[in-house]
Amino acid sequence: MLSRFSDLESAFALMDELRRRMDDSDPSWEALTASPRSFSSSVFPRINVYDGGANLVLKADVPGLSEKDVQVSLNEGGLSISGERKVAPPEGYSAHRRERSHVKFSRSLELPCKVNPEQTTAAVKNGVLTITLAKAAEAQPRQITVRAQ
Amino acid sequence: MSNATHLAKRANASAEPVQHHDTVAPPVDVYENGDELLVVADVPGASHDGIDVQLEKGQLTILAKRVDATAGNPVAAEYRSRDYFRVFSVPQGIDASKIDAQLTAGVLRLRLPKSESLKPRRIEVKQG
Repeated sequence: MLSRFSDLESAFALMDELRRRMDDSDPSWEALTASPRSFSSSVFPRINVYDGGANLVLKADVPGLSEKDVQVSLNEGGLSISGERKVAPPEGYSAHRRERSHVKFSRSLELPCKVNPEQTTAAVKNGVLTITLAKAAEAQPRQITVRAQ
Repeated sequence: MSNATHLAKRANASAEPVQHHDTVAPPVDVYENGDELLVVADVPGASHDGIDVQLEKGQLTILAKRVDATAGNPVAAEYRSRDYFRVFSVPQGIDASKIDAQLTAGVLRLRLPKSESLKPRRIEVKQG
């Protein structure tokens, strides 16, 4: 009886493992770079890019960072984000668990279209970096009027 | 009742652990000194009014809702905007009424002060 119970338990453990792997390889979202989804990820920060019609919006989770901790630069066809996230244990405390990692990061990505560098803005709010890039005139969606003849 | 207890109850009710696709576990640091436990969690995208912290039956529940909206059609995505949810067992003797929560730049800091019974005590050795 006991052995059967432990069999059942190992089956559940296997199911959990499978479920976790399925979660890891979530097919509905395409990652910019293949990477494991763990706490101490090698990719920092994770970036989402949205197309807002007249502009491109880039969002990245940068918990604990303020505007001055992030450098954003725009060059020919690409955008780079760099900075450092310091995680210092508070003084006089002993650590039970440390999952938040100290990370020095630098990421660059190619942009899907030309942008106007003068109209690029970047802001950090609630630990989320938002970069808004205005598309260049030739990359803007154009409305074609359909005329009756 | 709040969403947090509801989630916890649902997870406990079934024999098989139920998976919640709508939440993600935030990375957490836990520190301790003589006076308190300090829990630090990364919850980027959450605002202070979307955070629910509860201590019930020795379980500390943290629920943080993401409030940042998407901005158009996703072109490339490395993460999903999901709410944060995590439960910890905490030792007895934490004063629930004195828990202090502070959110700065997407980092949540919880201070859980120990009651007198839990604080370390120095035992004086008397000469016999």
